[in-house]
Amino acid sequence: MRLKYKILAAFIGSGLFLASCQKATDFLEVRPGGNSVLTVDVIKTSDDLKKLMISAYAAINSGGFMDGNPLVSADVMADDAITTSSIFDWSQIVGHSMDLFNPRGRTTWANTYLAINRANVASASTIADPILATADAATVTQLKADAAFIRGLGFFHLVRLFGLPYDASTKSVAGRGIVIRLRGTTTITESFDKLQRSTVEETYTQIITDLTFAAANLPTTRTTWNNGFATRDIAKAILAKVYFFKGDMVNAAAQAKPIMQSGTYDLDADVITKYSRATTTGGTTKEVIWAIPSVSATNNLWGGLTGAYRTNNTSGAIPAFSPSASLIAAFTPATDTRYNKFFLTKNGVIYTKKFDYNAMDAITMGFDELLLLYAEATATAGTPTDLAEAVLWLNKIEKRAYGAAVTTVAAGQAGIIAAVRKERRLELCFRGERLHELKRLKLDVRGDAWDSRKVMFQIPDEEQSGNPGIILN
Amino acid sequence: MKSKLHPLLILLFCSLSLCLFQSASAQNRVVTGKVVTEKGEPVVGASVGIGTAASAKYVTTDSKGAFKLQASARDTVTISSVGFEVKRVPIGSLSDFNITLTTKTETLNEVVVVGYGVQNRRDVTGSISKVDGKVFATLPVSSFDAALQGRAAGVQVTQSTGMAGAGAVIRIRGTGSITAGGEPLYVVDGIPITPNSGSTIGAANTNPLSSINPADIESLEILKDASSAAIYGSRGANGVILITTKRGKKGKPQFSFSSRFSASNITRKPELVNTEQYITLFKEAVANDYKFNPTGAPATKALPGGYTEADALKNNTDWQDATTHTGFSTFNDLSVSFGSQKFKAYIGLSNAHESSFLINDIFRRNSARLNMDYTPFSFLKISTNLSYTFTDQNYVPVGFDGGYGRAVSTAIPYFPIYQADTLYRTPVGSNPVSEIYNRTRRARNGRTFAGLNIDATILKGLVAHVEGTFDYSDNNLYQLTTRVLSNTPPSNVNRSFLANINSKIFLNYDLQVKGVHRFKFLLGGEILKNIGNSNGESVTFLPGAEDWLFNHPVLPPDSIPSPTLPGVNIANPAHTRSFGTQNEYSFLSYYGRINYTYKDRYMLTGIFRRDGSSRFGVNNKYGTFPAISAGWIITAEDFMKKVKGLSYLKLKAGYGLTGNAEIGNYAQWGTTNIAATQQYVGNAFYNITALSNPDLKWETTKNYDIGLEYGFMNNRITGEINYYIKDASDLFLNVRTTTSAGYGSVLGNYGKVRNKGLEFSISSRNIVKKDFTWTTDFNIARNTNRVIDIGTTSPDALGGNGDTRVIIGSPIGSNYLVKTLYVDPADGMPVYELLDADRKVAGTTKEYNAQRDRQIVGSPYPDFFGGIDNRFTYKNFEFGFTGTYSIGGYIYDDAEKFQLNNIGEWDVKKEVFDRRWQKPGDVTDIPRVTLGLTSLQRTRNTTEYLHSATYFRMKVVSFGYRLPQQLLKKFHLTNARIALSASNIFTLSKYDGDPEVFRDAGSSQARNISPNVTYLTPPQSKNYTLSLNLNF
Repeated sequence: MRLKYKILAAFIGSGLFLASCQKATDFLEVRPGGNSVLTVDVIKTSDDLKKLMISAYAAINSGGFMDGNPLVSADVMADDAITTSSIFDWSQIVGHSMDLFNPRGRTTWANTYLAINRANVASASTIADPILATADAATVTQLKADAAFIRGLGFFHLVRLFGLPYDASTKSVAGRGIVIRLRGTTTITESFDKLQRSTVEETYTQIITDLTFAAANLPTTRTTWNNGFATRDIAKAILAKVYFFKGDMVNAAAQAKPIMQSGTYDLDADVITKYSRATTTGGTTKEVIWAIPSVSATNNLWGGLTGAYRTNNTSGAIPAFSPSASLIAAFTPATDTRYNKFFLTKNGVIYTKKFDYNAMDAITMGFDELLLLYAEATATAGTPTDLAEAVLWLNKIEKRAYGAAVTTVAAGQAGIIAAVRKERRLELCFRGERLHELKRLKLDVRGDAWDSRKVMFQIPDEEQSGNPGIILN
Repeated sequence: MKSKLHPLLILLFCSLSLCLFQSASAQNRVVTGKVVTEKGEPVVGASVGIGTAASAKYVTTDSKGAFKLQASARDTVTISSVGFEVKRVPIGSLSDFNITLTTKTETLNEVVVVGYGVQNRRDVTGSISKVDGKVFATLPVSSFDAALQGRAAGVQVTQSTGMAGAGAVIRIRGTGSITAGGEPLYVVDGIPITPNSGSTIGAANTNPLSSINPADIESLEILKDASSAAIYGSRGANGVILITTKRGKKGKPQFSFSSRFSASNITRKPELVNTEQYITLFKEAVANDYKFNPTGAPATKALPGGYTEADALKNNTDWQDATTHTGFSTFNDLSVSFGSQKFKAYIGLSNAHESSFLINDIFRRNSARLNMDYTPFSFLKISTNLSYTFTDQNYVPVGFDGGYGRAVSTAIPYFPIYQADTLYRTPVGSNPVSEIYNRTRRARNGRTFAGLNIDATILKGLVAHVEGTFDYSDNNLYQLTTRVLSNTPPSNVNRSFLANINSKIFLNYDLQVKGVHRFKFLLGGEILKNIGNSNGESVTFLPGAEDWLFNHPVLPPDSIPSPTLPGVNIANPAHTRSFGTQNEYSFLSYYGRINYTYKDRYMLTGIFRRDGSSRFGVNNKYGTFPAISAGWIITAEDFMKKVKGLSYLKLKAGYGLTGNAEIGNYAQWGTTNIAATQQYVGNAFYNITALSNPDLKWETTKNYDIGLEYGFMNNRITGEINYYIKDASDLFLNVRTTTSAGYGSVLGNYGKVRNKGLEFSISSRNIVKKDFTWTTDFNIARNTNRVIDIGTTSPDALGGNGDTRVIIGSPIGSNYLVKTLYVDPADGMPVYELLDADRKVAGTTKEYNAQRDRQIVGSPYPDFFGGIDNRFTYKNFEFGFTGTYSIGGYIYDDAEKFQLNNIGEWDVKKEVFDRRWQKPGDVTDIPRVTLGLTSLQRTRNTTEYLHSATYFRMKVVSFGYRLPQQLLKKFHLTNARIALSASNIFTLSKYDGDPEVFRDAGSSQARNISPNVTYLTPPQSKNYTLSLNLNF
């Protein structure tokens, strides 16, 4: 019997030993491994916040933001591009019948807010606040300026696609701007926080506030972070564009002027240099104010555009997207050297070869674009000095395109503005500007009024599911 | 029930033969008697004997229950009758007997495994189905799960395919999850094994259960309701399958050898057009397109693949024949069981070589098992379970992945297999035959189960149990595409391991008070840890050296890419290693159970379990799962004694909570990805990938059950009726949040689903004669499934393959299709039902607009399903058949939209040739053939491809013969049986494919939400199996 007790004692003892091996709370805490780390463990210093800010920059290049896809959508919705694609993404955009399920609309909305939220998380959120409270002022300012830039760019991108065009008649309509998010979402509770759409006016005010802050506080150059990070110039250039689309030509010109005169940027001798730069070994351009630069001959950052238009794919596939007859008709092939640089004919169909590269930079804004908006803005002011200034810049574009200046001051204010607008369409074709240009000029978009809901992106179903109160277009 | 009888009979035979020897010299006299039931009714046909049934001293009772036989005073009379306990009465000086037989409750008295212990069937208040290990003995396939089909009411078993080693999808009482795993928990000898979350290799589902040797299974219990499964707490909501392996029995070594040889063929082949018909259809399609759209379509078009009509007509390849054959499989099992008072052991060895009807599709398994029980002292028992299984499987491309899938899709009949004698026709990439030989996937898996159990009897009735178990598998997957298919042949090796460690301590205490109160207490705790990891290596080689990696699976770590690797394609040195991250989870649980039985007729069971898991958020670290149930054996009451015919009636009811913890390992954490590979213009960054969810928890199911167990005619007829409601809530869903907040969705516990059902089973001994018996088992079940809540998830976010949806008010995975009303006789185009903005019927349209006109159609689940099993014995012959059936519901053939439509790219079904619209006025259900000018026209999801899922399938027909005793003795055998069986020999179904549908779903969500969608899935196999069983 004593043996039995010995054995039982050993038995119970070993059981107790097993039970006491590890604390239950430790045993039940299994954290993910590898590259997936708990946020609370990894985001501790302002350097960590900077790494989060880079993720926001990375999101600028996503499919719904600056990788080019929404630019294609806007040109198809307008009258610059057509498509043979029959999937409903595109058939709706072609037919001006975009609905809330449209994948183009969904991605644009989601990807842009993703970038905005990442910027906010890194600069103003429950994660960032305590870190920034003790960080040095320069770091705080830079993070906030980066966030302001990404927000400004993002809100502008969204309001031009999902909001009403800016006009006295539209700017105060309730809920026809976009949702303004200034703080980052870091908890599940916050992610259920249903903010509603502001007015167009409020949206533009916020964009201007953000870009003004960015233009004042971003570094002038950012060599340590290479290119791909915003500087004061791009913030100013975008700000000029925002004023331009708001119809505030005085401020548009004022913002653009210092960049125009800085000498930092210029038109390249060849109109396609900026597009071919990434694929060309050692290629350089002065015509880009800011782009997300490709880092190798295979690193394509403009996939949305090349995917749609490219004619020289290795697979030899015929692109589903091509220029509209209206755009082609706007060119004068006999005198315009751009025509042969931009277009080619394959199987009897005219395609664009602007994007025929393995790798492209995602150009957010070029000097060409700034030049043209500056020219129009100054011409709008209308004094002889202004008109001379406008013609001076317009002629640079004309000389490159036609070999000689075309417009003179003699054309008068209206003539100069018309010439600038013509060049805006031709020079900037397939850059996603045409839709907004038509709306800005209150012109019909292929039969639908400039402020029609039919030529606006529709608030996606996904937003509606999570935010049933959102006002729809 | 047979299993219970069998060892008893052996014992009986032994003891009776002893008696026989003793009585041989004794003096005989006439003994008479009468056999009656407890109620005094005569028992007719009872066998009364001195010796075995085969002996001469054996009589049966007459219509009054009387018998008469010769016996001596030293003899013992043995009285047996089906449905009664065997009774043995020493003769002594008596010559007239009045013998009362007590009702034997056969199944009702069998012992069932209930998790952390066993119980008598009679005392069970929950719903448990027991499947005897014998049903696996004649399996023509290597995985046991298929054999569960039709065996238990409410257990829906869908065999996935006829591929070697393939498994089944099992749903117990419906699907109660949307995104989380819907499979039951499998517990092998106490260890909860890693569930099958739906991983695939190519388009083939992997099956972790195939590493369990069916021949080692003693019994399998299916816990269906909370009253039984709540003891498994947060892992019990989908039901629990307990697998108990065989153990040694006391006595001389008993050997058992079984060998099966099986031939496998395809059950159903879709009938496709031949070359001539194809060309006719193609030309007609071109003509149709031009006729109806002269500006948009060309007047003529060359045949696909660049063939001239004359060249094309030279070939007529039956691609299905080219990729299938008769597969031959062998299964050999040898086991020995022996034991003394102190030591018992079971040793099982097994070899399986299964070759399915798909060429090159092979599953090999070798396994060994050693189960030992050692009782050094009467109060101490030490048991071990040890098994090692090695499986080696070729996964041939199927489904969307090619091979047979391509043979019934893009392989056009005029394509030849070979273009020269030895070369595959180009493009080889779309040649099913070249694929099955040149795209190889070989998975080798070693799996060890090891368990050590110690039972110590501390006091009378109080047993302490300590258990440590280990389930370890090592997997090696080698994938190779040869130079035949690629100029830069990629090869890939992936190695992974999975360790599942479980240890538990529990106390079982049996207590009887005053003979009328019986208690069983269980109190215990356990920990479980599961760790997995996988690493991969992928290299592109020069043609000719592509199997290098296979032969040299371990590369030195610093040589990436290394010029020392022979044949590495330097021009394209694609050499990557992927280092998987550790995947780990843990559970810490406490549990208890009280069974109380009063007067053997009132039972009460209380269960609680408390589960903590690493998967749950910090605010919900532990979940509590209680269950309470009661049973009342009405027939034990005095007032029921008078009721004739009804021999057993038990009412049982229960309520309980169970959970589903298959929610992923790390969903609760707020995580940031810090991978250095995340680059923005040369800068690495951090990316917040998930928000922390400290409230995350298991999915909870509230179970309400009521049931009736019955027995008639002295339990010759027994069965069960159950009704249940399973309300699953806190379902794990990715719900929509306002997108502008940056995430768009968050994972959390939001959804609700209700399953309701009725189950009925009956088991009847129709004929019980000395030489002839006939028994029937039948079951039928109905389950309805309805989604109650999906939070703010957008409908399209829960869309599945073949356009299924999770929509409130409808079953999970409802088909969401455009309704095709008819084919317009004027132009042969389908006419659809048009819906307005409110989703109301608003007329008809010919424009296919899925966004506008899709609606819920049909039901993805059957109205009724079940099985029927009949067994006959005549002398030494046995005959039996098992059928399974399903009534109601629909199948959506996701591939048929191409097989009926996609002329120009796919081969098409013969019915297109036979029934298509050809000229105005034709009234038919198949539209005019067209090449489909747009992809939209070629990929319509409409009701045209929805088929009735009703079927009856003859699952198994078997014919067996037991060698007679004389012959056995001659060969020193105790038992020998030869059987011929056939599986899936016929299927009654309107659908021309396999009506048992399970798609190659690669995730638990896909498994849950596309339950009735099939896509080029290989059908099941038809097997003819010859088996031999020897016991000696």
